[in-house]
Amino acid sequence: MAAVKDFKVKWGMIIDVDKCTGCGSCMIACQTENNIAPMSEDDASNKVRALSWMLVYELNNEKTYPEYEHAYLARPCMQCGVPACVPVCPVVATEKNEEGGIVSQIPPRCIGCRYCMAACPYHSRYFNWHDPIFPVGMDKTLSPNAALRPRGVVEKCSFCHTRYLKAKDRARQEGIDPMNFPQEYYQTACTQNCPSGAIVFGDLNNPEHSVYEMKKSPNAFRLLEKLGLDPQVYYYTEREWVRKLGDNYLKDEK
Amino acid sequence: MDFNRRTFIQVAAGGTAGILFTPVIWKTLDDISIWSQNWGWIPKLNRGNVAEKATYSKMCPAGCAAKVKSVKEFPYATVGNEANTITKGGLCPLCLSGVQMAYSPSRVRTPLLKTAENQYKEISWDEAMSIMVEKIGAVRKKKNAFGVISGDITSSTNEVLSALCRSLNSNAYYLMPSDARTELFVWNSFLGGSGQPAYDFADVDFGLFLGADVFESWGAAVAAKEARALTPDATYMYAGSVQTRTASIGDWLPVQNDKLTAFALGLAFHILRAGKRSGTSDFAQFRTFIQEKYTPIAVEREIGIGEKEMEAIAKRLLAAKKPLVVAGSSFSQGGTSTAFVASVVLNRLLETAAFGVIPEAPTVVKNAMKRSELAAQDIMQPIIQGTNFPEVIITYEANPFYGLPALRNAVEVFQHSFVISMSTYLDETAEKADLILPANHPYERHDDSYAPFGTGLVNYNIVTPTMNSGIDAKTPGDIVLSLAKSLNVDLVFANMQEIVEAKTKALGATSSELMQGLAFTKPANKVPTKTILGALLLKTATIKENGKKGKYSLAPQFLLNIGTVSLATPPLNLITIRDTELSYNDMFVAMCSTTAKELSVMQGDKVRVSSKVGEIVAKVNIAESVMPGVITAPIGLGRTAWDHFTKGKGANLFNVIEVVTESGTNMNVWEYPAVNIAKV
Repeated sequence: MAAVKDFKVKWGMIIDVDKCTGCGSCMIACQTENNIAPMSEDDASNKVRALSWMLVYELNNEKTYPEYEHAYLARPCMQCGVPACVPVCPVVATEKNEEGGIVSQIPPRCIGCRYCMAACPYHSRYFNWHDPIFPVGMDKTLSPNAALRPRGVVEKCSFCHTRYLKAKDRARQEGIDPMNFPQEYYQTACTQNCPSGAIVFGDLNNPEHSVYEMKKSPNAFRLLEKLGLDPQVYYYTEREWVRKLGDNYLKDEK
Repeated sequence: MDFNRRTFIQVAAGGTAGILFTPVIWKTLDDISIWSQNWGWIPKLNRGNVAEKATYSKMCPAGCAAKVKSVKEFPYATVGNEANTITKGGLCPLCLSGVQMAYSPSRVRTPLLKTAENQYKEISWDEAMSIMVEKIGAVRKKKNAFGVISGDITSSTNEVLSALCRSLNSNAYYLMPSDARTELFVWNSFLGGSGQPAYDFADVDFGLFLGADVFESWGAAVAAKEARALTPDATYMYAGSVQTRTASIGDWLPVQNDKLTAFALGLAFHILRAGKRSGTSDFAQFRTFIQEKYTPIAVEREIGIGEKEMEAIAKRLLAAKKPLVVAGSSFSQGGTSTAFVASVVLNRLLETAAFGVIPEAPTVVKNAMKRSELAAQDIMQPIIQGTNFPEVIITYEANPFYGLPALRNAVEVFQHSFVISMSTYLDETAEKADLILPANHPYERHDDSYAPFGTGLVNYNIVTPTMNSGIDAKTPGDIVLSLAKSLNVDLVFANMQEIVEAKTKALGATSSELMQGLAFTKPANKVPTKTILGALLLKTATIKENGKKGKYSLAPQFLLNIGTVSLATPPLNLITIRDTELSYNDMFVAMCSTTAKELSVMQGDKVRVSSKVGEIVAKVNIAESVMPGVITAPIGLGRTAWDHFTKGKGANLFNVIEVVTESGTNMNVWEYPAVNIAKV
């Protein structure tokens, strides 16, 4: 297994499954921030080829009425410490070498081979089957924070990387160490706009950031932890069945 | 040199190694990928300084305090306004699409006059005004011949429209159906109240929700969610037919929606037994009624929940420092009076500080109706009677051609009226209207919002223009003020901006703070002792069935990400609709495996859902989140107008929702429509 690259700053998320109501605000906030075009004109309700850097899954405990329970699980890119996508990329279009521990995705380098999509166990990567087509006029509403990606390349959540760059600039301007600035300087769009307060974002290595302690909770877990990819996205739930689903336990597994 | 097998292998291996180790091929691929991405049709980003301007987004029924972010002069995103004490930086999925919807392909771009079915002529604003003056002028002396349908209860535009209505000899002012209208009507007409009920979610430690999808779409959902985020130890119980999104983060108690009143009054029995009292004039009558009718045995017989479980829930309410009981229809309209009254009873017996009263806002336009007066009229009354419907009708932020129950019958009633639609989008009502007036987008106008339904404080926010889409549209209030002037009705004000300023002053708010997106707030009033518990109403109000009832119960859901009655799913929101709600053009109705077995249907089978008023076809989704005998699906799909993003996708549930009458109150209700289901 490849060694985990050590970063002084490691951005991460804690998503509280017990607070998430599945409203979809995080998904829309992500789309507007990162210029993800609406689903294509000819198949507006076909999601097979749609892009969603942030996707809210509906989980259930697989019991029948009335023991049935369900929950919502928001899934961005896990920004794995040992990413499965990086070593398979033949053109170094995806890397994990920047301080902060965000797995980069560089569309101009991408040749669209989709090896990374096959490698990612979280289905966090999406292929652009279509050019980004916005309804006439809606292309005036593009965010300056993410360049558009053309047909034929792979894309994924970047933890709103432009916001990180701006936060570092702000820190430098204010004479603060850009490796150690307050949590509120850098918040992803999904975190900022979640009305349930279900997403908490910060530096997992910084004791002053709330995620530092939250990730230590016995109710915190990571998806498919047994694969050893060391994801930087944690989840929190008091419901055991959700935690079990998070590691894809087989039904008869002890 | 001979070219033998060994040479071939050497050349192949050497070639492979060369290809692998030479940078030329990878560099070439890299260059190709870079240059092949520089096509002219890929939109380019606007670069420059980013600015934020505060406003109040009214894409959802309650609205969200928002900031519109722009680069140069181009707005690109809506973000929450953390400084606003009501929504505290949260945004619903509709308001998040606010900027993008200003450029929706469905925008009405110029005044249009209908010339034949689905045929329109572009006309100027002057021509449109002349037509309105002519049509309205012809009926102004006839009682109630001019009418208004409003879909936004919070705006002072209602004052302008209602003052005009009264000046034209009419009281035909109708609000689109909503839980807000139901509660206002019952509170003011039957419980001796004034103003509107206030629900303060701050610091609530136990919430009991009766059918109301509080954290999704009931009332001010974002304000409720933000308050909840600050009380991590609070617990919630959702009682209803479907395990809704609200139920997913609390305890779900499966109770048929039509049994929720009995459930609440069953709890009242235990709360009375614990010694709780109320000083209202009908308390003794109420106590006797509960002790006779809602004994644990009677409640268990009716709803199947035993005494111990009921007592345990009552104890949770009694033990809470700040409990709150909220009742509502599963899709926020068509509710009965009794579930609401039962929730008021529980809140009052518990003496919770979470339940109070928001007084009426002062009216600034002379002759305008107060909010309780707006809610007094029921739009379904003239529609069911088929008589006394206004001859000329203006719709404001309302889409009755999509969102009225028993839709086919309702639409027929409009055939005899001249319908003027003031609409931002070419929605179902605009498409059928005789005259369409382009209303500007909510981010382009001066407007306001007083105490959205479901909030817990006296609160006031203003809407300030933050962008300009370049469409020749006008603010609805300004259109009406011009119309009034042309009809020689003096409403004093010249435009909505003046009205908002006057309202700000009348409330004692500070204009500069409101402009920054800060809410003006005051604590709600305590519930006056002169109000009653509604014992008589609870005794007499029952649903009168009209003929044979369908075998299954439909519990529609109102999911904000899919849209509202007056706003179809924004293009960016399509991705949030689940494959178990809509697949291509097929909508799903969800039912549990017991119901599916009874109907002999499997996942993905097509079924016909029918009632006396119409039918729809949908696919089956087997979901154990639904009680046996109940089916559920979201409202907001099945659009017949709008654009290619939404038109023809799914089915409109309002086609099968039947209206029944509640005796005692004579209210028209459609909270739990009965339907039949057959495999196609």
